Amino acid sequence: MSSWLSKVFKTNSEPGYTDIDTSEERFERRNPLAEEAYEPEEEAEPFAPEMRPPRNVVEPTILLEETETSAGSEDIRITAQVSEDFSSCVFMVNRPVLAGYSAMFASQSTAEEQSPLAAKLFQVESVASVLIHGANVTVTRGPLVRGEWEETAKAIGAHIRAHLQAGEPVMYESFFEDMPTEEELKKRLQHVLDEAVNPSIAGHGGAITLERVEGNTVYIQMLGGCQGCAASTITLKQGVHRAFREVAPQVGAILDETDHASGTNPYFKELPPEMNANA
Amino acid sequence: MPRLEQFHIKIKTGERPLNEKPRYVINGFALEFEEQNGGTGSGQTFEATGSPGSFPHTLLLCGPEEGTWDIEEIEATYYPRAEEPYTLRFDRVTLDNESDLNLWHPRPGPVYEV
Repeated sequence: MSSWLSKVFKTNSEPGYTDIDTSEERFERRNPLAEEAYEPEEEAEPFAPEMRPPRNVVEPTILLEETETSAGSEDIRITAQVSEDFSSCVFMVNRPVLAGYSAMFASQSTAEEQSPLAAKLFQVESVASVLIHGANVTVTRGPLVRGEWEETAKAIGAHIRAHLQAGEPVMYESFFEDMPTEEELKKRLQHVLDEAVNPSIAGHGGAITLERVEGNTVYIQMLGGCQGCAASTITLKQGVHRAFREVAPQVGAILDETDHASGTNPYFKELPPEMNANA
Repeated sequence: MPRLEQFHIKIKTGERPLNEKPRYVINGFALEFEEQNGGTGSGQTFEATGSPGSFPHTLLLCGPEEGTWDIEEIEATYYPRAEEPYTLRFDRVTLDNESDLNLWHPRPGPVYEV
């Protein structure tokens, strides 16, 4: 099978060239030991496929295959989608699990204080964190856990179904009572961005903006050196998540609205003037 | 990242057609599809094969040079070296003369009904 590189080196003298010509005829023609004197052909300019000028890259939405439900209940349908690296699994329920808010639990003790559902999920072996957001429940396993998700996913799915069927609360009332207003959350998060996060990543030409807060779900955008950066996931999770949750433990899902594949040259994308310290 | 030997693509065009030959970009180089069938007129379906034979650091479907292209749905089947092929379907998307579509997506994790 020809590689795209072979197309790079095809010549203009061979229109419609599809692969390297290794035929005997070609060899004879160019063999200096052949009886007839070899006359080199006029040197052809190497064909070069068009270098595509960079454009914005649109990320498509991948459609999930429809699968038949094998679960016991026909009312509550739960689809479990394992992540590409097998570190997490999203359980998509055909109804809202937690409407208006989201909740993140990184330990069993916090889950037991705030969410009867999350507390049950922590009882499943190897569960390390639980994020409840809208109709989705995202579960991660410990970093040293490997292997298939099927058995773990079945156990988690059974807990979610049983909990919802029983009509038990997903969160305790105290979770909502202690919830700061969106304005208060914005104020705290903007402060930590201005004072801690952005100064620390400015040296890499990056910046993070707070787009909006809905309930306690936070939407951010990464700019400059962050955009397109392979390390940005680590930057986001380790740095921003920790910083946000330290100043506002009630923060639920933190969603990155940055399209990391977009930008004509993301690594060197200019920051907005108001964020450019050198401006 | 596996070496992507070949991919087969099926594109259903929506309302606004593509009035030029569809192309794809592999690692910065724009190439034409092979084994092309069908068309990119309004409501038409275009099928073709691409043979990158390379590691797809970037694999893009080119947006139009002029105008806007409404894509109703895309089905892409990938043939990585030494692995089983897999198929993904992408939802509707609109491309213009400033945008390309990311076609490279590694094999997704498994899906279970639980």
